[in-house]
Amino acid sequence: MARFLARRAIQSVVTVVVVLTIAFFLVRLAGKPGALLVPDGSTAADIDKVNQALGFNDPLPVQYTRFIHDVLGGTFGISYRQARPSMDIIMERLPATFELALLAFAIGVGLAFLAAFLLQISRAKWAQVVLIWLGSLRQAIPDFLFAILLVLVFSVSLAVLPSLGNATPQSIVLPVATLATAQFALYLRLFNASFGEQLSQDYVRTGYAKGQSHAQVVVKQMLPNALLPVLTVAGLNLGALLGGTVIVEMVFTWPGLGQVMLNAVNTRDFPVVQAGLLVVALIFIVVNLTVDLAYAVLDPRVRYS
Amino acid sequence: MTTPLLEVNNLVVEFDSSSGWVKAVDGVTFMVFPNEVFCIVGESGSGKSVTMLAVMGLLPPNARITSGEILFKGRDLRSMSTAELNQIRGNDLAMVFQDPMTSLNPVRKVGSQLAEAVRIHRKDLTKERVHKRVVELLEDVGVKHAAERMRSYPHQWSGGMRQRAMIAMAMAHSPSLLIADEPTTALDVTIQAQVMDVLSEVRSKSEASMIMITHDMGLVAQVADRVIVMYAGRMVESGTVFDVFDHPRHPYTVGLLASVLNSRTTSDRAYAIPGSPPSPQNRPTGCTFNPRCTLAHDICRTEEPLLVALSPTQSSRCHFADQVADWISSEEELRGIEPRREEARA
Amino acid sequence: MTVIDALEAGPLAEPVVTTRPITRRRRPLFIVSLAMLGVVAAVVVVVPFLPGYDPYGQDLSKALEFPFTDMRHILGTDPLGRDSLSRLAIAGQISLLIVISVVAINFVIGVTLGLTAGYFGGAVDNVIMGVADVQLAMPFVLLLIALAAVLGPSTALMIIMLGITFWVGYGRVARGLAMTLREREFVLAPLTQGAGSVWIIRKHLLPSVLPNLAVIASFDIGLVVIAQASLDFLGLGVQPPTPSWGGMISEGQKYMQIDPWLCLLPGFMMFLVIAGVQFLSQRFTSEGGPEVARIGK
Repeated sequence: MARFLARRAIQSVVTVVVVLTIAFFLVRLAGKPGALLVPDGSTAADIDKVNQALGFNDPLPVQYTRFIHDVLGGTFGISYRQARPSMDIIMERLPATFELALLAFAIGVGLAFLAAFLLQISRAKWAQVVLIWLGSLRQAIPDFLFAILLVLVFSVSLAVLPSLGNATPQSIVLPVATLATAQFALYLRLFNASFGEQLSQDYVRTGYAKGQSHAQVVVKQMLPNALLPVLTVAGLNLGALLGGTVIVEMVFTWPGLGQVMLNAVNTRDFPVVQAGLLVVALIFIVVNLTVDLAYAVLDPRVRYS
Repeated sequence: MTTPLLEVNNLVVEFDSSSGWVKAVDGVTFMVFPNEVFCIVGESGSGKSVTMLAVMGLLPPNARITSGEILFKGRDLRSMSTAELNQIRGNDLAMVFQDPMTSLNPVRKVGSQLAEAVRIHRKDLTKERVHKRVVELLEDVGVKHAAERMRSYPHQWSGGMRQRAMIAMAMAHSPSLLIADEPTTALDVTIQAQVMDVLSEVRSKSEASMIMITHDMGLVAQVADRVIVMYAGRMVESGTVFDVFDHPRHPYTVGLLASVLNSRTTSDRAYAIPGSPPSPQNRPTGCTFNPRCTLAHDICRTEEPLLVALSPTQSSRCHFADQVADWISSEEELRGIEPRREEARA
Repeated sequence: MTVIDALEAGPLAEPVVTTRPITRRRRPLFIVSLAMLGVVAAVVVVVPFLPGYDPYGQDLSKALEFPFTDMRHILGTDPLGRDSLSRLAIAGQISLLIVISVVAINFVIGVTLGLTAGYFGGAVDNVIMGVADVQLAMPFVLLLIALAAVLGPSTALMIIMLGITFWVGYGRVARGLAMTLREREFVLAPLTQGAGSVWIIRKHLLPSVLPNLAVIASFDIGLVVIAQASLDFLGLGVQPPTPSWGGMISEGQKYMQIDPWLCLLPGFMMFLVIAGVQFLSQRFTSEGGPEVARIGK
């Protein structure tokens, strides 16, 4: 287990460094920001002074070192548009995004697990077929399109739910519904396949041979083993969830991280883009590490190796 | 005549394959009596495991019992409800499987799985009592430091120990009938004899009957009281162990005997029956064994032989069962194997 | 192994997939998928040759017409009076070209890296696997969005960016193949090596590799269509005035109250492509139907 975790830790560090480097070069690729920041009518010399002050005239290795140094010290640059630390802007909006993502995840995965579990105990094949089909249909519709469909039905036609912003408590319903249904579809398939795999396992047969009822076999033999493979995949899919949240925020003008970043992108406010990328990357990495750690702890074959 | 413990009559089991339903077991009939060891011998694909899985009600989803009767202590297992069957399984009727690594749940401690086996049929026992019983069971199968060891996970135990745990689990409620499906095949050769000893000892102490499924005639010689030989889903010979070893009456049985290596074999070559068993979809016409049979005549290719009783204890499914006797005396290798338990271990 | 294994994080592990014969039960699905893709093909390929095909001609007097109200604009018009059907067709052509290019790039990169990793093994394998791991652990799509912002969005950029995103699936399969090939070389006798290896490759390796690649490709197509449409929707992909399904939906979002068809029609086309490919691929996956315990009594 120690070797496994050490390997993952190194990988995480490498990933962070890669993301940082990419973020650094992205901003540099955009060119020196001087021209964006000076009032109209300024001369080339004024522009150059601004660039000099911000450190953009220094050689690249120096800029890079300063950048890493700043990051490690917690400084992520000042927003070009708002004259505030870019990280503050990002952090302000982060909770809103977390709200959406976590709620959608909890509901989607929770319901998917419950459904798969009940389906396995009840052995209702037709119910399984129907649910998996519905899931497939949902997965064939991109998140933003599904969001729009929900808006068309619930906001435009039925006028029962709001479609913009987060003013009222009901505002969260449609955005979460969009994301949660996608999570449900995915995890239902995963849990279902995982339980299905369990069926052909010898230790499940041993359970029946001992005289256990089907329900007991599902809970005692299949359940603990069915969770593990899904856990592995979950780490990867949390990334997709975050991506989906960004897009859904756009459709619903939900004031979260995605909105902030897209605005920053459109207004070429690169420190904010940079800070946003770093935060997202860190979340990714922390989540993946946690999932791997959880797996290592939960699977005795890894724990005691 | 004692009442049989288990009666299987004309059991037919089919599997759903890409070419429709095919018979894995085609009309098998036998009886097992109390306190005896009954062996089912055959190569892979003969249907021996499937037969016993059908008895236990453990067939996979793509298989079904098409017809036949299974009576355990006079009760019809096929018409029982699941709840009734669950009361018998793991209790009076138990099974040990071939691969102990995959037959134990990898994410649960061995002790916990054994405790579970105990509790299922004795819900009245306290936790301490269950714990004590588990330690007892493990000690009975020769696991030392059982109280400590049971807190480990299956992958931390060796193969031989895992199979002992499986045996302990099966014996938890002193079953009348224990089924052992190739119990030593998946183990290291050096461990096989040890585990086989444990199994035999445990069985004879409890006076349970055992049905052992194997492809190893040497093993049969060691433990069996009665034997049936299966080929391509059918019984081709049955009898007491002395019947089958002293005067086999089916060419397939002869082939199986000849392929056992043993210190008394006079030949310097290992013998193997030429060819391989047919897949259920491609069974030959006439006698299913005919393509591989040295004794085959024309009639063997066209007419299926019936299972015929040659004596009160022995039957054979061969058109030329009587001639097998003459044929053997010309095959000296066979003289090397005799069902004397102690000597066979040398 | 099943879908779970195929998706598992274990980098470059190989999925195992079998080719199932189309039994009677599965044929309806196959036909439905062909029908869905057929509709898309008809729109994309046939419509441009019909009289009245005009994706760019504006006519404000005929703006925001509903489908089936005006015989000259059978599927209605957009806010600028442009024929919706024509726009769907050309957007489709562009989308499909992009998807094919991206999948082709994914395939080439994946197979090349995978074969290299599998064949050379050792450090090369570890490096390539490491890159895959790191890439999977990053918010890659967000990085691409940022890149698009910095360099200015363009179709070419999007193709390249998506092209380097999804290679890992193909990489796994190719790596497995290369590792098998490597082993074989030591097993075959020198005399038979010439005819032997070719025969083995044809008879044994390719039949298992091709279905695997087909499954990966079908997942890939779905992912790429969604990713590309999302980028178009955000304004970071295909740029107006060139129509794209995602772009049309983005425009249509402003008119949802008045004319929902602006969103529904391109959405439906996307759905047909993604679902059609998904159903088609089920011909190959071992994940055929849901499995429920029937272990008896």
